[in-house]
Amino acid sequence: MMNLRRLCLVFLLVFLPGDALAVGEPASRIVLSPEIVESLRSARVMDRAAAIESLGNAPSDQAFTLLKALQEGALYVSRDNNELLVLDENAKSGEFVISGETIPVTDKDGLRKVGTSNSQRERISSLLSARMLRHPDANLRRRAVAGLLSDAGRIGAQDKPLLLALLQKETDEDIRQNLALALALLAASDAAAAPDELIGAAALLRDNALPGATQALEKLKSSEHAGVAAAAGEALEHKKIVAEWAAMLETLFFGLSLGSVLILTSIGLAVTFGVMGVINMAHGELIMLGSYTVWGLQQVFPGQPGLALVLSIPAAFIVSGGMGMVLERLVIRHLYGRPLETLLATFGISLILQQMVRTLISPMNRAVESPDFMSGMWRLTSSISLTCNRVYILCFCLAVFALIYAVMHKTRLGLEVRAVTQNRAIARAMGVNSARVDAMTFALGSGVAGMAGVALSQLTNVGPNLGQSYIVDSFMVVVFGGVGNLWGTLSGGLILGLANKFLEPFSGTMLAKIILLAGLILFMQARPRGLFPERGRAAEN
Amino acid sequence: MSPDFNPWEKDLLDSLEDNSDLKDNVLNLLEDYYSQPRGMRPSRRVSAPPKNLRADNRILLYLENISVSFDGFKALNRLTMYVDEGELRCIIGPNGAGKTTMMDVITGKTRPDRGQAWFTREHNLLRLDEVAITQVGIGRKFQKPSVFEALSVLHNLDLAAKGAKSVFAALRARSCAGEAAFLEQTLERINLQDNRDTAAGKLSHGQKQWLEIGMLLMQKPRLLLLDEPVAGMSPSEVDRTVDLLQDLEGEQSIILVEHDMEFVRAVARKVTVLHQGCVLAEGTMEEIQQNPAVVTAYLGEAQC
Amino acid sequence: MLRERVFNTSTRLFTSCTAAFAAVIAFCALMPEASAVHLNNHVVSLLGKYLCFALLALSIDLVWGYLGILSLGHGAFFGMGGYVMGMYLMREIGNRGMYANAELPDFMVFLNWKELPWYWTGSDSFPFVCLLIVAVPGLAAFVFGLPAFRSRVSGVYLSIITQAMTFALMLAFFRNEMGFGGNNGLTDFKSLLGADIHSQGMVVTLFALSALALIMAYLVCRVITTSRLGRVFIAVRDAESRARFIGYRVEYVKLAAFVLSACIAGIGGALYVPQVGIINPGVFSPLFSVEMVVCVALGGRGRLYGAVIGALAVNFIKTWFTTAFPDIWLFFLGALFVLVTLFLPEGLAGLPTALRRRLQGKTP
Repeated sequence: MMNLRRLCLVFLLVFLPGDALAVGEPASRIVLSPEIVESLRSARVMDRAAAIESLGNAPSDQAFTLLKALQEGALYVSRDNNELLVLDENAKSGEFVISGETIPVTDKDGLRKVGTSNSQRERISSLLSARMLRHPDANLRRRAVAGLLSDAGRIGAQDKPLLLALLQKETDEDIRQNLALALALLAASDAAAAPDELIGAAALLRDNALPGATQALEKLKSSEHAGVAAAAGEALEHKKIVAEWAAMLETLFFGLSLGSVLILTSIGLAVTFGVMGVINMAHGELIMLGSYTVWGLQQVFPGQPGLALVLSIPAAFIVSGGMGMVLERLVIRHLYGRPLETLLATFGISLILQQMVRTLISPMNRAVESPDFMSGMWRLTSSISLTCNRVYILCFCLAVFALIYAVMHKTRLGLEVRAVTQNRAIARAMGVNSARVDAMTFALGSGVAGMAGVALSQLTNVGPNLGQSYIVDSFMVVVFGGVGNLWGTLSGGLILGLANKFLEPFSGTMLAKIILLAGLILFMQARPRGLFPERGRAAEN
Repeated sequence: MSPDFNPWEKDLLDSLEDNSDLKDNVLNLLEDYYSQPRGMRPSRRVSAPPKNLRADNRILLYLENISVSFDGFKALNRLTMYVDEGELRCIIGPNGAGKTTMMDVITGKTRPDRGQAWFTREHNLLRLDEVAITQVGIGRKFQKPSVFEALSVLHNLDLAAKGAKSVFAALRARSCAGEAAFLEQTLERINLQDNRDTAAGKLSHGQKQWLEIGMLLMQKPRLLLLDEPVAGMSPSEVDRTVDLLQDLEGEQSIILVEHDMEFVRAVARKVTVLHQGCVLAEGTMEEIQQNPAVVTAYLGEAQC
Repeated sequence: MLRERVFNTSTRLFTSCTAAFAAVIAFCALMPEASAVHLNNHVVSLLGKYLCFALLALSIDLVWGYLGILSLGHGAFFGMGGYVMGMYLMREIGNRGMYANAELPDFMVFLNWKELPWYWTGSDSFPFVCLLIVAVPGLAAFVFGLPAFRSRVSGVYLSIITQAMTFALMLAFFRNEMGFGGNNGLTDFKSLLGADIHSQGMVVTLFALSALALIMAYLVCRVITTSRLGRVFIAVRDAESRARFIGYRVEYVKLAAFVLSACIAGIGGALYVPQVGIINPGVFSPLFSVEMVVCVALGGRGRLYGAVIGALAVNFIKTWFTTAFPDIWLFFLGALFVLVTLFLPEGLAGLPTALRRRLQGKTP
């Protein structure tokens, strides 16, 4: 069992640097000594021990390749000319070790595998890793040490002198730390280690997030030496707290991220539904149009997904906003004061828009590229890292909210919108052109939906059904927050997003959502008008 | 007939074994109560007996020290007011004086922060909900005429008629002769006998106001709350309304909130002036008009 | 007296038309296959399905048209009735399933369940199932409606929480752990009351039952809406506050209508399942409920027969267009919705009145 595990890890370890080597300078081809070649060709497995040792001590890259091939069982002997050859990964072609010639391989009948015993493979793996650890390239050494640490069980007492020697020579701080850590792990599993050494090891392991570290510390905690046990106990406690915090922060981040998506998709609805009272079932399709704008611009600027993405923010606003304006002029204008009829008409519009995309573009999902700056990870500590696209979308959401809030509360248009909302007749009597205000408000709400679509294009598949999956959630957020209140939408989205993510670890994704919906229904019983209800006489009617 | 008394009612009767007069009295009361159809029995929720309430048997409505605040704004501030049985009381006051809020408190729409409100000495209004308050005999007309627009005038009145109003009662309901006569009488009173089959939505503004008053009358309330009943009426309609109200005076107590001073002068005996949530002055129209505090309240700031 | 009240012209027209339609279809279905008017089982089942949707639309109209409660989650009650029926049909399969397990439906065997969950108890008794078909949706509507109406959740807020309800149910029924077949739902039915579910006799019977249920539900709704209670409904719709202030407990009025409506929807669902042969969480999808609301609006709300016309028309057009013009049928359907709202605010049922008004307007 242990062997098998080790083996896998060594594969991993060997495979990574192997790739790196392949792209490096062409391997210098040395003439292998006849003894080595002969012992590799031998039909008896036992004959190979000497060859493995000498390959392990040979400095050349070819020796490395050969060892790797031996390890992976990719080294063969041709039955035709009794030459050694290495098969590539797909076993489609083989390279002769001596001549460097490549031939296609159709079947393995003409080949004989160079077999190795279990103990030989183990020896090869330790030779390979030792080789890696001594490699002049610091990057490769770093990876080797990291690979070494990724499983504590891999390090045995026999590795101690090697590690100590390496530590002495090593200059890179990162690698030194990892080596020290490896030694600490080693010490923890060494029954003969001195207490001082163990306490030092515990201190080292305390601040590391390696899974092996926890195991080692648990072992130390049961030590007979009181000081060691105490140090290990404290370190374990510390690790537990750190892990809890990390999990908490991660959930918080995912919650905020989901919240930001919910806010983005519902804030346009908060304007059209909340402020104007239009139940816009086509809201989801306006979001979808925004996503398709990103795709469209990426077709215009092939190879520059970043530029296309940035440009599509205003473009999506214009596309969806323009569509909203057209809809308002043609349909919604005739339905004011009949909110339930708007539901019917906009449902029809949503069907038309969906079908339009299917007919004009494609019924299939479109691939939207993510620019490089969106796709990285942002590492905060060894245990917490955030995905960049979610961080950007969170910021984008706040920016959009600030924008909408500013428009509604700091501009003349916003003033007029609020006036028309509160009392249409009086606003008109005061000289507000309510028809224009309606058109502008609807265009604004629709445009924001388009901007939400830009963000969504970076998270989900862009297809004709994109809008439908968000429309229900968006209505929930707006109603939960309290119709007609932007702060309500902001807090509603955040609360629903956070609640969802904090529930998920206990209940699973589906159940979390069900619980949330049930919670929403119950909440509405307690506060029939949402988190931030309208107050005063206006609310009566 | 011997109705099924509650255990505690039986206990009460048992405990009165020695005092036959009192026992007969109680028995009569209980039998009266049980003789009414189930839905029409007045609420029997036992309220704590009113303490510290002004003792005066003519008083129908007691409002004492009522305070209501919305987000820090004091809509009513220790308001105290009494309305007698059969009285027609006008409430006037500038905008925001708390007139509508006062009506909301009486009808259970708004709960006050403190104070007590009793309808006779039996019903603690603060413990009853809107429907129960309607059933003990308080009817309210809203500021904005509110009738059932899709239904005919006759059906509007019929729905309002005093009677069992549970879902099943409504499903089985058939009008009886006595009710029909009263309905005709009310129709005549509110002057809509020619429009009996017109949809309420097609009536003029003034006619809607009357219809709403008519709906209240159908409930035979002991107290009527009228919020600006003549707003938007033509002068001739106002005159008819004056007649209607004077006709009602003595039959029902009426609280009338109104801005139209001519109208108030025409109908009112006693006027209460509200200002900043409390009573600024009370008296006849003449007394009120000569009260310097009232004059400043309408023209500028005044403290009460 | 009652008869005069309930049977006005449109009601007589509606009941006789529905009955005649059902009779003609049943007659055609029973004609020999060689006959020119013969209808195959597929068509009859399809028409039966329309009638079930009409029942659902009728139930929506009762609460929306008369009480102004726009429920965007009525599909949930339809689905509940359907699932109850589906459970019965699953039990009827017995050992004819793929795994030949007499006790457990196939999907439970597949999930390695050892025994039926408790809530499947009694699902093999037809009378009990008939009771559940109305009791489950009715009870659900009661439990959902009582607190909602008491705390006066109304308007769009109510609409959205009904939508949340059906959405939550959809997610719940997607879970295999619920014991209702998860994603695939309940299907592969073999027989109903011992008779082959695909036989001509059964198909025609189910169709006739659907027509009968529709007529009965229609008449029940008529009786209620023409009673004083019906006027109370309208009173609550037009001026809820006023209704409360003349002494009606609005919350119970709403609750009664909501529960009755859920029961009717449940019956629709129960008849739907054996005719379609499957029930899955799709019936709980918010979109399905919205679509049914749209049917009611299209037919004209507040008239009962309008809802039926709407449901039949929309579903007929849907079937026709999806086969005849699969690429553009959504354009047609969408445009239909928009145009009807804009030009026929009273729906298709209001078309005659609108025409008459226009004619009278031109020739005074």
